[in-house]
Amino acid sequence: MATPAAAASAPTATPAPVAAPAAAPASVPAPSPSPASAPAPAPAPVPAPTPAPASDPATAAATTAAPGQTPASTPAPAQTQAQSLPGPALPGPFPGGRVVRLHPVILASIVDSYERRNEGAARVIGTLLGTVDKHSVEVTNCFSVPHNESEDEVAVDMEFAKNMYELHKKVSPNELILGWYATGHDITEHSVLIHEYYSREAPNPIHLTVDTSLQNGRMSIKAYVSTLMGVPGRTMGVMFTPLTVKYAYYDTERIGVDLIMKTCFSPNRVIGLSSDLQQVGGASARIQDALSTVLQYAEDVLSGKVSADNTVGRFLMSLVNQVPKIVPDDFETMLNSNINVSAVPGLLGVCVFPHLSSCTNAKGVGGDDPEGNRGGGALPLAPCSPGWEKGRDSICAWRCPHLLFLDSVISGTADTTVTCYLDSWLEKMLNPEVNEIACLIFPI
Amino acid sequence: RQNAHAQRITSAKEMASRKEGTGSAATSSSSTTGPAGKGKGKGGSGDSAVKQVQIDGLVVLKIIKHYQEEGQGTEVVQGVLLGLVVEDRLEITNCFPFPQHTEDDADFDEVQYQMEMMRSLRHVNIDHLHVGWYQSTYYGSFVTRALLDSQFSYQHAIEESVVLIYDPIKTAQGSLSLKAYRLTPKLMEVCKEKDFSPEALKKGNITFEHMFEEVPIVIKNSHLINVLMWELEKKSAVADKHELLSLASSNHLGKNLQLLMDRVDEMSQDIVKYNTYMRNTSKQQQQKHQYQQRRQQENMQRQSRGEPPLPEEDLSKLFKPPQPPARMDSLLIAGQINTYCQNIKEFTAQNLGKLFMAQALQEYNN
Repeated sequence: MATPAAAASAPTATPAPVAAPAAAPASVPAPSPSPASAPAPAPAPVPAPTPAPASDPATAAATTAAPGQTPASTPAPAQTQAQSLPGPALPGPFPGGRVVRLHPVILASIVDSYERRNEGAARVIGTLLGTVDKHSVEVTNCFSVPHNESEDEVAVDMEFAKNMYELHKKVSPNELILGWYATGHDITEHSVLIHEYYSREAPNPIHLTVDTSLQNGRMSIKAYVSTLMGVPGRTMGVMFTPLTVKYAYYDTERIGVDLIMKTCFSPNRVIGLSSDLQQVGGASARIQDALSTVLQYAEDVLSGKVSADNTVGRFLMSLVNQVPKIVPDDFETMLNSNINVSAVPGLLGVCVFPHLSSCTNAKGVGGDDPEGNRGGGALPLAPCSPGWEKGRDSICAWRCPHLLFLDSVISGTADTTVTCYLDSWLEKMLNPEVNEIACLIFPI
Repeated sequence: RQNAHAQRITSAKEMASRKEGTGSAATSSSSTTGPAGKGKGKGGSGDSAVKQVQIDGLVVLKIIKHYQEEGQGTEVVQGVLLGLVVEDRLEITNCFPFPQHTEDDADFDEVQYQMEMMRSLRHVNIDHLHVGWYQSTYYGSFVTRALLDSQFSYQHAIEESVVLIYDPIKTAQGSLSLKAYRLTPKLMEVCKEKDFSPEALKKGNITFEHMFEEVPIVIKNSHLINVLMWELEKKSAVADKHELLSLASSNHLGKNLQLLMDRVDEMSQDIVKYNTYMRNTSKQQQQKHQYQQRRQQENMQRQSRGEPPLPEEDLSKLFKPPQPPARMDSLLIAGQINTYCQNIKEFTAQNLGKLFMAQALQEYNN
């Protein structure tokens, strides 16, 4: 990764230039003085202390106000400069480490806006939003911005960008403008202009490129920040230096991405959401794959095909040791209690339904309706105090302090089937010392 | 909240109708003038206009992100779904979140936010048709009056709208939990009348099973997004955490049961109320009957004595009938209990599977 040398600049003076290191394979050299046609709106307040050349037409597209930084440089002067800029303030120099963390939703959004671009547009651009912290910059949101690009000029609807940012801020007030993105393979001259517009919105904006034209058979995703270069006192140029891109996932995001990724394997790119046991099956299959990889590795090492690596060996050792050694009897008890824990609520789900459906059936609710007719097969519910009163042909409900349970009468007969839950069962689940489950389930 | 939703729908309709001329597909016109009944072969009352919901991967990611960043605890996050209707399939291609309802910005104009958002999105060629809304849920408790009202106003204005329920806690346990619901036509009828008395519900033959219908969801990605997925997989080797196979489940189960018990409590109270009502009604009937009888007797006596009979009095004025309790709440509670039970069933099925696997492994070890 190329790093420019220190470029601390005093607030008011023209930025002290940097001797660009020879090894820097930076993308764009000083752009030719293309006539910059400003887009219709764009009254971004140019802060006073920023060096004048930013608005100087002679070096129009050339300089940006934000010098790049290396971690080693003295951040103080640049910090004052950054602080004097209005609007969302990134704390000082670009965070050391120079890592940009992207969420997958950003990339999906970018690709989607690329697919929806206007006819004739070669690429789309948009704003990146996110948060900054000490070590990295995290991009969490983005939106696309309409723009027009032709051979000689570029016009960006900054008004639109501002509006959208305001709207987004209502939902997530913590997000700042971090920079902008563009699809396409290269950084063009117009990029520099656009970058300049964005540097009025945010100090030190990031530029992200997503190569949707799939050059080299890859969709390369790169991030840059701009630095100044050139000979001091003469025309200044801008150089985009690459940053490390890392991907950040929330847990749920990872699960979402895993699921979405499955469309890659389906012929028409459509997948349904799987049912409960299928998911367990899928997860077990994945573990099985992982285990077979590990086994393969172990065998390779044993047969000498692959040289042994101590770190891997230690990991494997700790993995094997993690499997708990349980005495079979204890395991049985644990298993049984857990099965109870799972099965009883399952039965609850199965048994409570038919009761409820007849309970809330408009016909059957509440016992006799005014004409004195019994409702359909099952009649619920005259709740009473603990203990129950049985009556032939009648309903009874034993209301325990926690859970009401229902039982119903097969109409006509005196059979009362009691499905009696779960108060004591619940106690047992929460308090394993309780031995008895006073829980009898007579299914209907 | 219901007002907010109603406003959102009307604004969506306005916007769509204004852009009618520039609308891209013919389907756009049919979906916005749904109530006017386009000739789309809606079929009988049992037929629903939407058989399948197709969601773009992008929407899934956006919903996940929205909850992750803005939702805490039992707050629900909501947002709007955009897309289009293709035959009997509802395609959801984008979405945007709605700011949470905070007391301090009471002057926040939701309608305007939405209008602006949709207008701006239209500028960048994103589908601007309002086809539904999404909401996160806490352990599956989403069957509330508010949701019913909102979905009713959506479906009333836009025939094919759905509500997507995203369960973040279940998702965090290993598999994406996203469900699409619509109100059944029967329930739509009842809601239109706004009559929730027992007689009306009996007439409509509505039970809790017929309130919401779940529409199957498929996820679809474009080719370019697939390329992106491959790219991400290569670059970001995030270790699988295998939460799905975790055996520690009692916490989750306990929570579910707790909520279930609360609901059942509510249900029992509701039923008590109904019982009281029934008893009162029948008692009143008896009283009326007795009164009538006494009247008749008196009249007969008077006749025998030659006096004029007492005038008939309006019985309904003497005996005011008790107010029948609205049954919608109990329906909702039953529906909610149903949902909880479904969740528990799924959850315990998975658990049992895992436990048996553990047992098999243990036996192998021994």
